[in-house]
Amino acid sequence: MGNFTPSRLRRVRLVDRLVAGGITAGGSLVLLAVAFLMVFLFAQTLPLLGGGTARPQSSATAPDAPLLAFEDDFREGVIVLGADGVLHSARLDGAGRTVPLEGARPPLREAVLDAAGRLLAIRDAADEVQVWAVRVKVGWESGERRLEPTARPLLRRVGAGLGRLLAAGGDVDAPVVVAATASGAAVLRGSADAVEIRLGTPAAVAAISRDGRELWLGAARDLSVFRLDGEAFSPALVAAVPLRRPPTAGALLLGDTTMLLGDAGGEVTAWQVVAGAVAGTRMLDAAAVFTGNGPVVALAPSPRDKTFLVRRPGGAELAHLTSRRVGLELPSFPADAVQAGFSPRRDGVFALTAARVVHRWRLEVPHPEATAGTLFLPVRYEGFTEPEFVWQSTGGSGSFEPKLSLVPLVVGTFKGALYALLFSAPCALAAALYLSQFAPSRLRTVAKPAIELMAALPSVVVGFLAALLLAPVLERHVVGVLTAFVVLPLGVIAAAAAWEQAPLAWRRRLRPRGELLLVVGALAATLATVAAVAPTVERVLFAGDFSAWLLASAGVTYDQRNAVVVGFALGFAVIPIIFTLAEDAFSNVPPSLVSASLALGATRWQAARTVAIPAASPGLFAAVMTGLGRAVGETMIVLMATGNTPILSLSPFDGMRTMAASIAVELPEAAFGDTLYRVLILTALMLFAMTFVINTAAVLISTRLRKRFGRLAA
Amino acid sequence: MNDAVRFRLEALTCRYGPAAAVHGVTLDIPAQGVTAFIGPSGCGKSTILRCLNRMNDVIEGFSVGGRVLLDGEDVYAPGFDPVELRRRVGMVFQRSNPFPSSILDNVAYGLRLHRRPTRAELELAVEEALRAAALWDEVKDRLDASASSLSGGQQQRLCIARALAVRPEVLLFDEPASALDPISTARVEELVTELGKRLTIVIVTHNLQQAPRVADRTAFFLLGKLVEYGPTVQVFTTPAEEQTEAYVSGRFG
Repeated sequence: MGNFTPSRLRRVRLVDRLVAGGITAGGSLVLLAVAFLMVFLFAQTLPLLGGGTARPQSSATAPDAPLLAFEDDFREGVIVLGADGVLHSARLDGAGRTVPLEGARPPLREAVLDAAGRLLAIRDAADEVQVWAVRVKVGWESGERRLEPTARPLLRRVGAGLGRLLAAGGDVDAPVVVAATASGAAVLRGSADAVEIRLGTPAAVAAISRDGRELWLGAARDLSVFRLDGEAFSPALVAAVPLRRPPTAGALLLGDTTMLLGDAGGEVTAWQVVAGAVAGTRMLDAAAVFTGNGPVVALAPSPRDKTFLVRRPGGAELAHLTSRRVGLELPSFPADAVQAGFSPRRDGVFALTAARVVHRWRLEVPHPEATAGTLFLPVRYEGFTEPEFVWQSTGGSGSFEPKLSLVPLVVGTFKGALYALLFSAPCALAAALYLSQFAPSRLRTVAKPAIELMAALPSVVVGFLAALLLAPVLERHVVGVLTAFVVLPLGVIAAAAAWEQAPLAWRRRLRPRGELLLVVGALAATLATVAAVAPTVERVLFAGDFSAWLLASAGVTYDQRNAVVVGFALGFAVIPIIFTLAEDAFSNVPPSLVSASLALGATRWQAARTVAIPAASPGLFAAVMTGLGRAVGETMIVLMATGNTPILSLSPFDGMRTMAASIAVELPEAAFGDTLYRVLILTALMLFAMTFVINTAAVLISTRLRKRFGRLAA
Repeated sequence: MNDAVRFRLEALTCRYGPAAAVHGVTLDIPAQGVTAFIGPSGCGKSTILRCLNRMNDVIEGFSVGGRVLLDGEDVYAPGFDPVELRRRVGMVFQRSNPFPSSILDNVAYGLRLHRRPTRAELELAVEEALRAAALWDEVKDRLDASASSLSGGQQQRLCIARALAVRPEVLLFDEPASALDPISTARVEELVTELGKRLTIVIVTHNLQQAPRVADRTAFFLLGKLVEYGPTVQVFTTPAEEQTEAYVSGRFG
């Protein structure tokens, strides 16, 4: 007592305060880190929500009687073709330059530009149709970027007798121009004579694919697709469909799969060629319809994605095919616009007016393809006949459209986790019950750390073993494994029942260790029986080949890396977690309750069933839920053992891809800030939310259960 | 019948691992009346009590030598079922340990272990057990209430009722009142005396006043050995052994 001098007391208090401060600071830092993580994830996904913005920018001046305009990659200027047959490059800083189209006789009557913005078709004053390759050359002059439009003649044709120019397409080596005729359309190409396609009525809209091989023609009553094949270049009808209203505008979306037709009723219909009812036939199908107020005046496709611009008398708006999102209005769109289009990088929109002004807007629609609808609802992508859940984030070609449905990933995550729980929860709970209530304590001291040591095995090793050892073995012995699943518990129960019939004196002599040997013996005997019988079972029931039988009889394919493999591997990783928590729950059951039960003449199993299990049930529930949380978040095992096929299937013999695996695989490839990146961050956020919800539910429900089971006597 | 022997211990030796806790105790417990085991902590009285219904079985490393005969049958014989034994020899523990369920379910627990009684049978048996435990009048209106809503003394009497419900022949008490207040203690003691008239009661007690109040016979243990055993009055007033004298007069313990 005498040691507590005032100075010593002060020192103790100081240390007390320091330690308390340190602990508080540490705890706060942890909370802060978690909060920061949440905020970061949230902030990264927020842009997915917004529809985007379109802001007016400074406008440029066009020459007299402008016909059409296009922008350069850097949006530094606008190149306008005037009726004088000259390309006027109007730089926004005022410095202009002009490139005359030599040989085009002014005034030009009309002009069209292809979808890629590289082929310019014109009809001059002498009714000649010309095609020019136009380009904006980028050069450097005294450290400054200089943009220089160039034009090269490609094709000249007599245009007498032809109606309006409808479309230009193909490439610079084989340009194709389509013009309306009195009874259809004419196709002009460099190496052959003009070919007329009879439709009955003059073609109103047309579009040519970028390879120059496919021609879409819309007339008053129908829409037809032609294939332009071979040197003879004879158009072959692929499919046709009657139209309800005559088309007023048309455009082929990037990818050349979807033809948009606008009509006077204000509708824009997206037409796609799909397989017909009879094999080998094709038909046209309306994949989507976009409605709006006022007739459609013109349509312009985006050069980068499935966005398109719809012009109506009252203004213009942006729509996106895949997400079916419509309605981003361009503010103060001029009523007298003669042409409008996207900038080459889809970062802007311009509109050319007869009043010699080129209006410009800055477009910020960073993630048009990601909406709640495309992420969580079935989407009909191009080439699909039905809306489906598809995750396919990257593809081979530039016009590939990422398909970002999160549903297969969510389902895959839960499928993996549930198969894992199906295997691990009974094993872990039974092991915990046995070790805590029945096993001799010597066994407990060995087995408990051994099971817990399973958790120390790196999951990459578990995944490796599962993928390279377990999966092939399972494929060869799938019947045996499935049989074992059914027979093993039955075998043990049968053995126990047989033991009940054994003479009393034998049974009384059994010590706990002998019991264990008996069970292990029964298990081994059952396994040996299953191994011996499995080939026969497979021969008799499954015609000798289970996966072939499965495919033939149920139409189910057998993937080598499938949910059963994942169930085992992930289950292996989850067992120690469930076991440890369940064992703790059983150990926390007051021994006095078990004693009370035993003293009333209960057998050990009765005591476990009526006292230990109910008393431990909140803990057992929490253990299983925590296991579920771990299985949902586990990455490495599912990455290696699932096959990573993001398919939507609940079959145990199919592979899957989980959310965690997707993040691990694709985040390194996603560009910072792009749609895939944000969707993956959203996936991470959902994963976080899911494990959070699962763990919180585990705690809340187990607390409620604990209350319901009352205050346990100590 | 008064002289019938319920339990006969023959050279009972108990070991926890290598260490012996009870050394060769030989003792007869008659079928009638209350027998008290007294002695200081660690004298082996609880160990012996737990041998009577083999509650020591679950303890790792525990072994017995000698014999424990219940009505002439060795309870540690290989063919003797400990579950059957515990049904015949009930036990009430030092601290009340009702199950976290209703009063009714607590009392019915033992009945339900062995068969599926009808509702009427159950209610009858529960009422009888609760009356025998002198708890009926206090709980008859709230049989479905949680057992943890009872006071400590009531809980202990509930445990007694629970043990009585399976109609044991013997009831073992392991310091049943050590955690109770004086009034509750008195009620439990009354109950023990009352029950002693129809059952064999063995009670371990620390409380030197309790043994004379409830017990017909008293056995005094010291360091795992039986020092003295006889009618309570004799053990407390004219002990044969000096150690007994020293203990009952409160000189150690």
